[in-house]
Amino acid sequence: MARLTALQLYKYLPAKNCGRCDEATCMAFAIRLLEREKKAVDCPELTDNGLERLEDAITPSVRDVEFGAGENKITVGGEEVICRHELRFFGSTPFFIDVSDLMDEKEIIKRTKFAQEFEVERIGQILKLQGVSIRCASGDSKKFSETVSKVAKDFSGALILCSFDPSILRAGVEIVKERKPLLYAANKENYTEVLEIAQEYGTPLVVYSDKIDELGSIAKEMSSRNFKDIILDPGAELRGSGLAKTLNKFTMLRKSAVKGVKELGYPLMCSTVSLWMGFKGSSEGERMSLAYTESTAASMLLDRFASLLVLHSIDVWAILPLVTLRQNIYTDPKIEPSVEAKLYEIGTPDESSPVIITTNFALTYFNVSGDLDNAKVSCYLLVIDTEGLAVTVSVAAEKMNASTINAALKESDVENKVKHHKLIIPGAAARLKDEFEDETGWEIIVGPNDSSQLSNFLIKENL
Amino acid sequence: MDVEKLRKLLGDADEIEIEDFELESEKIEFILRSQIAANAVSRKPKAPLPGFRFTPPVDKYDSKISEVTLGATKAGGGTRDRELRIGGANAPPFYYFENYCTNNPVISHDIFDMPISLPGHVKKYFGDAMEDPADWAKLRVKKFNAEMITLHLVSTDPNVKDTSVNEACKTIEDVLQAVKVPLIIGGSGNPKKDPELLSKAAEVCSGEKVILSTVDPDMDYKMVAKAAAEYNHSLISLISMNPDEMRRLNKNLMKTGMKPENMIMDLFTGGVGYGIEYTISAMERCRLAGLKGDKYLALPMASATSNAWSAREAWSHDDKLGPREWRGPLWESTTAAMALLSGADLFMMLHPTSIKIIESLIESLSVSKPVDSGLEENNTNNTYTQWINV
Ligand code: B12
Ligand code: SF4
Repeated sequence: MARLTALQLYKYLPAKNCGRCDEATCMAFAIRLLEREKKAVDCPELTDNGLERLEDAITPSVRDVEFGAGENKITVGGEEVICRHELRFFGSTPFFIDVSDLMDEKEIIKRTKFAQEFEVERIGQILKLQGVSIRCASGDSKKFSETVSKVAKDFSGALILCSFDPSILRAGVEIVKERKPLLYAANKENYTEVLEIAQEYGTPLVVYSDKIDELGSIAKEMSSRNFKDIILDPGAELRGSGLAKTLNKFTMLRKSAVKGVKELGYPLMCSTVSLWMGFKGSSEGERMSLAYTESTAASMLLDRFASLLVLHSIDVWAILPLVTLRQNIYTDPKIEPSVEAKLYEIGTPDESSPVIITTNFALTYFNVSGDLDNAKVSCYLLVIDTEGLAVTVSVAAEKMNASTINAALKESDVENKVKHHKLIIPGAAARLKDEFEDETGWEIIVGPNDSSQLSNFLIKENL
Repeated sequence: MDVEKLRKLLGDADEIEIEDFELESEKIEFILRSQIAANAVSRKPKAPLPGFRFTPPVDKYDSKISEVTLGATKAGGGTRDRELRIGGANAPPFYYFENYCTNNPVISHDIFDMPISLPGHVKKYFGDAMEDPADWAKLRVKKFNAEMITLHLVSTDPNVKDTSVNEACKTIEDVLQAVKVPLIIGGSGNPKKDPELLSKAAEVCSGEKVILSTVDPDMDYKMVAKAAAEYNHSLISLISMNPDEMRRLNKNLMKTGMKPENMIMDLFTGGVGYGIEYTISAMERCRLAGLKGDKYLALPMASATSNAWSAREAWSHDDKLGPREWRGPLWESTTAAMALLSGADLFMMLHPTSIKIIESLIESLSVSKPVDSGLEENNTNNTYTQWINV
């Protein structure tokens, strides 16, 4: 279904402009709905019927499905488009780390800890892993339940419970029911039983089939029983020409959903664990190369519409590009993220501390301030408004020039905070040195190209 | 009966019926794999599933991306040992269900006309060959099976070594002698010097059908375009991630006499975490516009993937991020994989490991007939669900 405009959405609202939704007008509320910052239920003036109609109208082509509880609740899916230039993507793909009930205790603890503790900071955001996926490889529901308890004890994030045996799933979910885990998976054999469990415990479930017709049939059957918290796993071959098939399938499914095929309008998931089949854990080289292969396959699936991924590798270097890429794919390519342009104090600067210039592009600001923080440098960081462009870009686009620098100097009043008149500029802006000097009257010192070299530079130059 | 045989029989069985069965042992245990067990419990009859028949969501595209030949053999008037073809896509990248069909993307290996600063673990692949571009080219072809070489004449930049155009042309001749694969001749990025350098290179490479890389609006691109047209070379137009400006530049190049069969465009590949979010969108937009009939954007796309090395994560010494010998190449190949999915036809790459990974990806994805649409799927030996039991 085509995405509605705010004006079209407005027609579904009571037109009372009463403000009970904390928005001044119904129109403002409609805009917030579009931005996914409000939900239909936030308007208390809607009748039951009206609410249903509105919800129907704003349900995205790829439904959004929620699971997990409390602050670890996650939403997957919720997409409307194939390409991000039409509208950004919303349901930032959660990553789950694979645990099996046949792994030894040490391994389970190691993996659970990794999932719990993994953290990288980029552009002011903390990038994390969202969950642990626990599978019953033993076929033994007691062993599985024990593993679920073990993981739940050390791990506070979201959980997936995996087995095709409904009785095993039931045993598992009973242990962590208040955490609202995701059930994996219903297939054509067991869907009635798995659906019963999901309905009983109020959890979403995954439907698996490698045949699209079957996937659609099962989803259709569930939706006719009024159950729509579904994620689809269409199966994936990840080696050789299988990869072509997999990309083809994921692309067809997303495109069908966007074109309005309701039976397929659910988030897609994929596990790359099968890549590790046959690996005995003997050779370190083989392990590294499998981690490499898995990371590559996962990044391609991330680009091609996987709304949830289960990963086996717990190598930081293999996960790092994935969390970074995810951050990229789920930002709006039309908006340059920026920070406020002003004078920042790093550490505890005094009148002899250096004054350093950079731009207000978020990636630039967080790189530079992070480097200075890590090196425990105390200084004034003067952030210039370059309309959110990186140093290199703003030099090329002439957004960083003598007059913007001069204006920023004046406005910040840094002149009265330090007793020297030295300004350190990025290496990338070297060619503007003379221009800056003439306009500002400050001595301009050209720093290194990368801010990670900045603290060494300050020491070397005695600044 | 042999136990192993029995186990096998059970493994494949849909149903087990035991007839005329006499048991003499005291205890017999059947361990059923969880999947079979799952089937066993759900034996009770079930209402049939509602019908759903999937139809692939096929769109038709009016246009096709132009095809560009790289290099000329003797038959074509040159001395290269092969001619490569890129482009020709008739649907968005890897939309096999829409009859996606294209020439395989090509990877060109980077070499530079002076030793450049690289992490030690990357340098070690090239060793002393970095001192001499001809040796470096040979190593790339002999040891790393390069199908194509990009010679970056970075030392010509007045702010670097200001190597003269004549001297740079000698380097080009050396490399043309040293290897017989098709070449890309890259400037230094200096807008004042590149037009002269690339025009002269066009003359020196007469007959070889090289690619001149790159032209942009800040330089006298018409001068380069004229030389490329005169000597029948191709050229790469470069705009940083802006489809409208790319369209304008290509239109101007065509007005100057360039033909689509000799044009490739580069929307700039920012590495993962360093601009890839813009690259992906810019490439997708240009490819779709081209397929929908915008002739100024219906051109193959190049990706200078080695840009990924400017990302800190690719080279930093931070041990918390894992070994950089693995991290660096992965950063480059992940960047390349994104460009591939966004429609790149020609890659300029640095690290031998990243190159190998992308070569094998390209091979995996180059299925000659469209992959079945999922309708005729009869995967009897699908192993995917076994991931639960690995
Ligand atoms: C993403 C990107 C864009 C995005 C902008 C995103 C943004 N918000 O800035 C878009 C698509 C909009 C863009 C546009 C353009 N771009 Co652009 N872009 C890039 C790209 C790929 C990455 C830039 C980036 O994010 N860098 C990361 C940040 C963190 O780097 P940084 O800000 O420079 O900060 C680092 C250092 O400078 C230093 N540092 C920062 N502050 C300080 C302070 C001190 C004191 C010190 C010592 C150091 C220091 O440390 C930081 C790292 O830790 C670069 C290529 C590249 N790999 O660099 C091209 C690049 C910068 N763009 C380029 C160009 C030419 C342009 C355009 C002019 C192209 C055009 N004709 O349209 C336009 C201009 C934009 C405009 N508004 O008109 C060229 C610049 C060439 C040159 N040297 O002159 C580049 C190098 C690409 C190329 N080779 O063509 N671009
Ligand atoms: S609560 Fe409902 S009716 Fe009142 S202003 Fe908000 S949207 Fe309009």
